[in-house]
Amino acid sequence: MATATAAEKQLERSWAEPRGPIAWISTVDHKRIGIRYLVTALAFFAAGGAEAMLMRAQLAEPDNGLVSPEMYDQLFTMHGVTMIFLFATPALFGFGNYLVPLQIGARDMAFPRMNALSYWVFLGAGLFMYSGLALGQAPDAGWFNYVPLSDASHAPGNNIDFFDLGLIFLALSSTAGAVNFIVTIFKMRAPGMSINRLPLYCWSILATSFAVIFALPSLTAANLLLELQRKYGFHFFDHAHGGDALLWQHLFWLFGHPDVYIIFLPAVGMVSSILPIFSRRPIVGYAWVAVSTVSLAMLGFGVWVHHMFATGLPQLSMTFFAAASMAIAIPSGIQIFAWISTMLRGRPVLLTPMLFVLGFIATFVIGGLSGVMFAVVPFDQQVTDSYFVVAHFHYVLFGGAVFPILAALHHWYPKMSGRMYSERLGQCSFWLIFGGFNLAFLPMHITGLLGMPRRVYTYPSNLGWNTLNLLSSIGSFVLALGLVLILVNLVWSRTRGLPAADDPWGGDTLEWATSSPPPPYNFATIPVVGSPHPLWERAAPGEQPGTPSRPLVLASGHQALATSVLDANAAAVLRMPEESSWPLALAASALLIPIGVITSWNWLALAGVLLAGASLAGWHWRDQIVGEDDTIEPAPATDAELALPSEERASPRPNAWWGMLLLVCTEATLFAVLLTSYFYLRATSTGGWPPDGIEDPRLLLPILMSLLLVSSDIPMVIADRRIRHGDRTGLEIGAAITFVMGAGFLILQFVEYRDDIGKFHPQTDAYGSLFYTINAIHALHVLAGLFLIGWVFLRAREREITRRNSIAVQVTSLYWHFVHIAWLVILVSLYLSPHI
Amino acid sequence: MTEHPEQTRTSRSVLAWYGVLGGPVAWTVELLAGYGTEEAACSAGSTSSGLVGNADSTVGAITVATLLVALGAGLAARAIRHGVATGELPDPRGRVAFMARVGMIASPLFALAIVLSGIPIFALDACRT
Repeated sequence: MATATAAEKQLERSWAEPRGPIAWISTVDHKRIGIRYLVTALAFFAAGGAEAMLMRAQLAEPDNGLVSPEMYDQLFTMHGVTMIFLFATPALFGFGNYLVPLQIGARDMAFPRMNALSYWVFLGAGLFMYSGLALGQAPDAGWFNYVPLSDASHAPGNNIDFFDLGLIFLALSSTAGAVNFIVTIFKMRAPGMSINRLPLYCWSILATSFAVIFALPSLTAANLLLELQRKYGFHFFDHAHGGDALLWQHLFWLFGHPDVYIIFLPAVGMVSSILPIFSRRPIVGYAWVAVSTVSLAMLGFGVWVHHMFATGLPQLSMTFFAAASMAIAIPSGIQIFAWISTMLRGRPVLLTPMLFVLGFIATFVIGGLSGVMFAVVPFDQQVTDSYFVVAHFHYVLFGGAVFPILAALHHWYPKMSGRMYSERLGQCSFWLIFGGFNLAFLPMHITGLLGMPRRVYTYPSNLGWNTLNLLSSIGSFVLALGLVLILVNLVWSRTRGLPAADDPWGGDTLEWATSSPPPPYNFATIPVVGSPHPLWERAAPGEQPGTPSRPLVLASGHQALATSVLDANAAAVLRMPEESSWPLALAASALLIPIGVITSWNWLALAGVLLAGASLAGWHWRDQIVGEDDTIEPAPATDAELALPSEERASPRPNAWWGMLLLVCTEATLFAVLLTSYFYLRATSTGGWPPDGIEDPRLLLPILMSLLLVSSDIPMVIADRRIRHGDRTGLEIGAAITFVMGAGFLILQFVEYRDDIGKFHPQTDAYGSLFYTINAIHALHVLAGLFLIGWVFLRAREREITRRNSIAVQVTSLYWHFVHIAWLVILVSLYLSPHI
Repeated sequence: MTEHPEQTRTSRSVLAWYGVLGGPVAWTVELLAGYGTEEAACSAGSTSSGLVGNADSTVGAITVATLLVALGAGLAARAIRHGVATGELPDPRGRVAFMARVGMIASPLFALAIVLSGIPIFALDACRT
């Protein structure tokens, strides 16, 4: 015990962050960042809720003039944008930030500084979008921002630019967060926590993060193309110049429907964590629930066209998506039956978290049933854009996400604050919210079936909608009262609540094995796990569950343990980064770019780029080039608890390599989306391709460029191999040759465009717009690769890259492979295919 | 000729991953290729581009091929599970059995999704709006 205390003191010295304003902005502690995410998301929730209240006040009676039509457009758009992008996803990311490292027995996220960056970018994007509202120029074309309503001729102000640029900026945060979650869950689990022992909440975060990686590029591409069209006269969605407005809908919903699951899956993961604890037994069908979670994330990608059933697509095309929309009910049903079975076979305790879970199940089943109705094409076409849709998605999103979030707030509040909330106030708030919610949204099904369209700012009194609308408005205010009561409860309990025990609910996962609130290092000793319910394992006499007999402490510095991907075998001891202000500096610098674009102050955007580059340089100057971990010693595999029998071969890949691989995946998806847009417009083009008056692309120069870029990979591979043998000169020569060849590629590309631009340019037509946009985005990737290679070269000259510390080279090499493979696909698509 | 233990382990690992991923990948291919073919064949510019000749039979062939891949994944997962149950495959942590169970659940689910989207091919003409 004396040893443990000494170790804890040492850990406290290593992990505790200083207090004060500078420390506040420079924290990288996942728990503080998680709570910060939650508080910010709840602030946006309050703003989105206030917008909803204004809308319901306006609709409470017919012919009401409380708000103008223009203001109403901004209100319903900002309500949707806020609830989807600024509340639901960030709140779930906040819980993920707080809980994932604790549930897997880790000391922090895999990339703590990138975690801080994700938060600051999220905050910046939210403030940027809300500054539009303050200026009376908030987005006003609905949360899905359909073209042509949102193009420059129909929306000439800055309203839509706040939407486009804000969401592009926010995508940086979400992508970085998703990469961080995946690498953390893959590589930072406690020894013994093989994938079949992963807590179900972590399964849901894993599935969600992969969905973000592959769905978000579509939204980013859509917003980028629309902004180019609005600001610079490109023609992606302009039918008169070979574009297609439906392309926007495809791109948006290719993100939009998976996003429903991005919001829903972490919420069901919370339910799968909370419900067994309050049912006093392990969940029924662990494997079934895990598979259902991942299947939902996948099937969610196959239903985007069901938002477009009213657009005149061929019937056979629609059936693909109707089929997937029906199939998706199966994994949802599996989860619901697993939860019901768990309750039936357990002894449910109806405390506030469990009440919200039950509220979730009831409302989500209703929303799910109306969702299956939308899979039936004729029904969908009848009720599309009516209040029936509004009722459905509020049952799915409020029922499917907000109820679980409220359950989670109460469930993990004692862990986060160290205090118990008031159970009486909690139960009161549940009944107000449950009653208010159903009073608000159940009548909307009927309002919709009676023909009331969504997004109308008022209605005449003779259509039979008056009473139903009044009921909905009363219900929404009751709902708001319940939410205010929760706020009162949690704020009051923060100082007046009873002290919370470490495990007040008798939980099964590792977060309940540490103190409430947890210490900065989370666990004094690294836990060892033998089941999905480590705290419910049978403990040896005198031994705490989940604690090995020979504990691994890792107290000699800011250290964490990395483990293998499948079986979580101890692999390496990592030196974790400490607090830093660079993430805030980088986020603030990058925020100057959208501000510069929207104000047309190009100098400001350029300053943002330069300052962001400087911030990145400062971030990494005494650290790794990409990624933050540093393998300093192999894990102590001699400990019997750590050397658990396993069939998995040890993976030598560092965390940063996995992070770069995921970044490459999301970038590859971006190119796939852009190239699919190219072929989509080609297929819808009624003339030739390229359109009349534009020659087929010349091939000689692009083929020479390709040879140069592909062969530049050879010296990069050699450089990587040489440094692994300790040959720094070989690294420097290889990096220098690669840099020169890559720069040569860019020069040749510049020469080619100088010739082409005289014949057709991005404003000529949709073909020109896509041709130059795709090539320009690839050129930016080459440029980024050259910066990385140049950085590696400089660090090698400084003798800061060594045989044991060559992660930067591995990561740069991986990125450079991607750059040239992407180019080969572009060569085939843009240059060779028109000749076929 | 005896197979090397390393090769045996690799082939079992490939089989296990085929069991896990075969169904989802088959469904993804079926959706993207089937829908892509239909869109390409029925779009306004399909005549001039000559991208696809007979959309019905192409989509049908894609559906059958991907369905077979998904069902094969289920069988692979079943074989792995049998190997674990008989002790032929070492599985000290239960992870391989878990992967097999995942495959046995996911493969029929995604095979069903393929079947559901394949049925309309017999009832609807391509490009009818």
